[in-house]
Amino acid sequence: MNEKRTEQRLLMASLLFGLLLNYPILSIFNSNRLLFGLPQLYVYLFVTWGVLILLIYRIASNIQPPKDHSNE
Amino acid sequence: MSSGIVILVSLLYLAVLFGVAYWGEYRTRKGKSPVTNPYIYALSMAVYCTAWTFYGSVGRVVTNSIEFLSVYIGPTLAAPLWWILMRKIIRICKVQRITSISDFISSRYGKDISLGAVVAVVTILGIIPYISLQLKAITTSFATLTRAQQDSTFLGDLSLYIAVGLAFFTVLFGTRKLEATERHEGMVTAVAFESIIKLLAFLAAGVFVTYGVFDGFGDITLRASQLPSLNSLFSIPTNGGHSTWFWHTLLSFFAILFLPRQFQVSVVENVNEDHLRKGMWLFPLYLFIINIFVVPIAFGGTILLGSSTDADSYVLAIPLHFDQKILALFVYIGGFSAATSMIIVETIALSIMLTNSLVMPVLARNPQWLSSLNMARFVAQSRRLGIIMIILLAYLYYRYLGNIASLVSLGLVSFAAVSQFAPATLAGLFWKGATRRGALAGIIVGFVVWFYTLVFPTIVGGQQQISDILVHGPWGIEWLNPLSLFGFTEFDNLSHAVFWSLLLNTGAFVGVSLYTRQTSIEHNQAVLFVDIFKYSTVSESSIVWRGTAYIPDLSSLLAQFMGKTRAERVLSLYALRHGINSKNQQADPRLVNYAEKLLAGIVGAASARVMVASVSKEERISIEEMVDILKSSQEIMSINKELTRKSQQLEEATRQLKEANEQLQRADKLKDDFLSTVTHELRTPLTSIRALSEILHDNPDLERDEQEHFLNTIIRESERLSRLINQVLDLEKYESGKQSLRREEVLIDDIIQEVLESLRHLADEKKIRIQQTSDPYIPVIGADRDKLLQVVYNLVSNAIKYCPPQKGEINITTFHIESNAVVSVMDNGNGIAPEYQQLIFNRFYQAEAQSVRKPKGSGLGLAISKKIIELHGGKIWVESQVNKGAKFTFTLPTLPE
Repeated sequence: MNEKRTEQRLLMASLLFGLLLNYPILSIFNSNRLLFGLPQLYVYLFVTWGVLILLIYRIASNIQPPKDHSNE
Repeated sequence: MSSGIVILVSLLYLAVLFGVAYWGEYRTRKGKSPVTNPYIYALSMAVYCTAWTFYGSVGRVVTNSIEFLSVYIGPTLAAPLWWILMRKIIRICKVQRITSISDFISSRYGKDISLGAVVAVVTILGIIPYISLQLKAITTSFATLTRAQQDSTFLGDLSLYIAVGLAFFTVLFGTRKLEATERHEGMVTAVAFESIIKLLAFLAAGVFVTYGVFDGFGDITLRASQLPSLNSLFSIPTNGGHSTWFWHTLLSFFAILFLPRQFQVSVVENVNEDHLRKGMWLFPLYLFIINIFVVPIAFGGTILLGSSTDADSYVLAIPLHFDQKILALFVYIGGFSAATSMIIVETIALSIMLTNSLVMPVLARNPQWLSSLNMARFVAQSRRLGIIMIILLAYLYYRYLGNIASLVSLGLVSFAAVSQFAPATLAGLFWKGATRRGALAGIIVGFVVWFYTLVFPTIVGGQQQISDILVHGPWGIEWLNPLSLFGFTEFDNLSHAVFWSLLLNTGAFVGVSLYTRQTSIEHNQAVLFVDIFKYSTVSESSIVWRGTAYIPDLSSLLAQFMGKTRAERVLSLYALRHGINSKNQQADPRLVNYAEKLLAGIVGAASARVMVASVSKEERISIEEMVDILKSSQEIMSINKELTRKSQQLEEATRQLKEANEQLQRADKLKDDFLSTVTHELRTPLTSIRALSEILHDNPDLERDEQEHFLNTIIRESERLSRLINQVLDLEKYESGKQSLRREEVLIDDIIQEVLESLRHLADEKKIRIQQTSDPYIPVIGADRDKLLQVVYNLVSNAIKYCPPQKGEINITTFHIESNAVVSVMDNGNGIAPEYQQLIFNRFYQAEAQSVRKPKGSGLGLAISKKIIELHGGKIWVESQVNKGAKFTFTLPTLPE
C-alpha cells in the first residue's frame, strides 16, 4: 500500500470527522428531540464517533507492517 | 462499610498491582516481555482515563450535558494522525535517546538547557493540580464508601496517608534500575492491568444502573424527559456552548500527546513503531466503550438521588443506595485504580523531567561535583526525591488551596498548560526554521497568559477586595481583565484562556523564529529532527562534531553512570562494530557522539551534551560547514550508488564494443573474400578476351570461319563481363539501399510466360521438360516488372543449368495464400547440400572452410534475386536434398482487392 496514500487517507479522516463532530454540523442535531427513543444529539455523537473508529481501523489494517528497524 | 475493610482491600489491590509489575519485569528478563504485545501498548495508553473519567464525567453531565464527550473525541480525531506525527516522534526519540517532553523540546532546539528547564517547570506547575484531583477523588470515594463524615480535617489526614502510601509505592515502581532507555516494562504492564480493571468496574456500574435499576437506555431517557432539569440536558446550551465544544476538543487533541504520562507510555515506552497501527483504533475504542454508560449513570443518579449527593459520586452512590456492597467495592477499586495509575505514571514522568532538565544541568555545569559523587546512585536518588516532592506538593495544593472546582475543570486547566508546547513541538517537527529563541518566547508567553487567565483568578477570586480585578481589570484597565482580555467576552473562561494563550504563544514563536538566527547545532538538530526518516539509517554517520576527545576521559565519564566494566564494554563494542580503531587514545567523533547519546538516555540530552563537552575540546563549527558535512554524508551515499551504476553501464558498453569489433572484423574478412571472388570471376572472361584478341592480332590470315568464331567468343565474353560488372553494381545498389522499385500491377503468370519464352530454346537443347501449374485466382502483385523478370529468369535458368540432360524436369507452380503469392521452381538436379543452402544466397563464401566455394557459375544471381524479393517485402528460400533436386520458392505480397 502506498504510504503517501495512507497518510492522506488518515489526514482526510481526521479533518472530515473534525468537521462532522463539531459546529456547525453539530448544531443540526442540537435539540431535545428523541431519535430511537434516545436524545438525538447523543445518538449522533456516538454513532459518528463509532464510524470514525471503524474508519481508522480499516485504514490502519491496510498498512503493511514496516521493515524492522533494529533498536539501537 | 467499615473503613477497615476498605483500607484492607485498597492495600490488597496495591499488592496485586505490584505483583503484576513484578511479573512484567520478570517476563522481560526472560525475553518474553509483555510490552511487545500491541494490545498492552494500546491499553497502557488508557492511562489517559483517570478519576476524571471515572467520577468527573458523570458530574459534568449534570451541569453541561454531553459536552464532557469532547475530551474523548479530541484524542480520537488525533489518532489517525499518530501514524504520521507520533511515528516521527518515536523514531526521533529512539535515535536521539530522548526520554521526556522537556528533553525532546530542548533537544530539538539545539540541546538547550534553558528551554528544557522552562518546559519542565511549566509542566510541573501545570500538572500538580491535576494530581491533587486524583488524591481528592480517592479520598472522597473512600469517604463515600465508608459513609464517613466529610469534614475537612479527617479528609485531609486521610489524603496525607494516601499520598504517602502512593509516594512510597511509586518510588518502588519507577526507580529500581537505571536503564539507558528509561523503559519501565513493569510499570507499563501494571498500567495495562489497571486499565482493564477500571474499564470493567465502570461497565459493571453502568450495566447495573441501566439494566438493573432501570429498563435500558430508552427507559432512562423516558424518565429523564419527565424531569425538566434533565430534559434540558438533551442538548448543549448554545450560548458559548459552540466554542466550548471546539476548544475542549482541541485541548484534548493536544493533551493526548503532551501530557507527561501520555508521552511516557506512547513514546518513551514504545518498543515497536508497528504497535501504533493497532493503537490508533484500539485506544479510541477503549474511550468509546468506557463512555457508553456515563449519561445513563448521570441521569439515573439525578432521578434516584437528586441533589442530596454530589453528582461526581453517583457511580459509587447508586450501588450503595441499593446496598450492593460488593459492586460498590468493585467500583471503588475501579476509581482507585484510575487515580493511582495516573499518579504513578505522571509522577515518574515528571521526576524524569525534574532530574534531567533541572537537576542534572546544574551538576553538568560544575563538573568537579561529578567526580565526587556516585553518579548512578545520585541520579536514582534524585528521581526518588523528585517523586516524593511532587506528590507532596500535590497534597499541599489539595489541602490548602482547597477551593478546587470540579474535577473536570481543573483537569482542563492542566490540559491548557501542556498545550503550550504544541506550537514549538509540532512546528519543530516540520519547520527547520523554528529557532530556540522562538520556542522559548512562545512557551513563556503562553505560560504567562495561561497563568494570568486561569490560575490567577482562582487564587484571587476568594478574596473580596482583590476580586475587583476580575470585574474591572488590574488598576482599572478593562482590557487587561484576566477573564476577558482585550474585551473579548464571547467565550467561557477556559476557552477564552486557551484562545489567547495559544494565539500569543504561536505568534511569539513564529515571529521570534523568523527574526532570530540559529546556531550551528540548532540547525543540525533541526535537520535531524525534521528529516529523521532520511537519517535514521545513517544516524551514525551524520555526525557534526569536530574536536578532540580522549577515550579514557569518555570512558570514565560513562563509568560514573553505568559502572566501569559496563562503560568500557559498551564503548569497545561500538568501536568494533563500526570499525573504529580503539587503540588510539583519541576518540573518533562517532564514538563521542555515541557516548553522548548513551548519557542522554540517562540524564537528558542537554546535560549529556554539557558533560561530554566538559571532557573534550570542541571546535566551533559554522552552520555552512555543518550543512556541508550533513550534505556530504548524504552525497557520499548517492555518489556510491551512482558509481556502481556507472561501472555497470561501462561494462555493458565494453561488451557491446567488443561485439561490434568482432562483427566488423568478420565483415572485413567477408569483404576480402568477396573481392577475391569477384576479381577471379572478372579475370576469367578478361583473360579469354585478351587471349583471343591476341590470336586474332597475331594471325591476320586466319580463316574467316575461325575469325568469326573467335570474335563471337570475344563478344560473348565481353557481354558476360559487362553482365557481371552490372550485377556487382546492382548488388551494391541494393546493399546501400539506393535501389528503388518502379511498382506497377503485374500478373505473375505473365512474367513466368515471358521467362519461359526466352528460355525455351535452352530447355529444348537439353531436352528438359518444363511444366507450369498456375493458380488462376492469384491477385495482382504490385512489383517492378523488370526486376521480377530478372528473378524468375534467374531461378529458371539455374534450374535448367543444374538439371540433368534428357531426363530433366522442371515444375513451376504458383498459388496464393492469405495475402501472398507463392511461386516455386522445382528441378530434379543434383540438389544442394544443407550447408550450402544459406550460402548460395550470399554473395560471399565462408572463409573458414576454404574448400567450400560457391557452386560454380551461379554468379551473383541468387544474391540479387534475394535482394529484389526482400525489397518487395517477400521471402525466398530453397528446399533440397542431395541428388533429389531443389525447390526454390519465393513469396510476394499481393495488392489488396
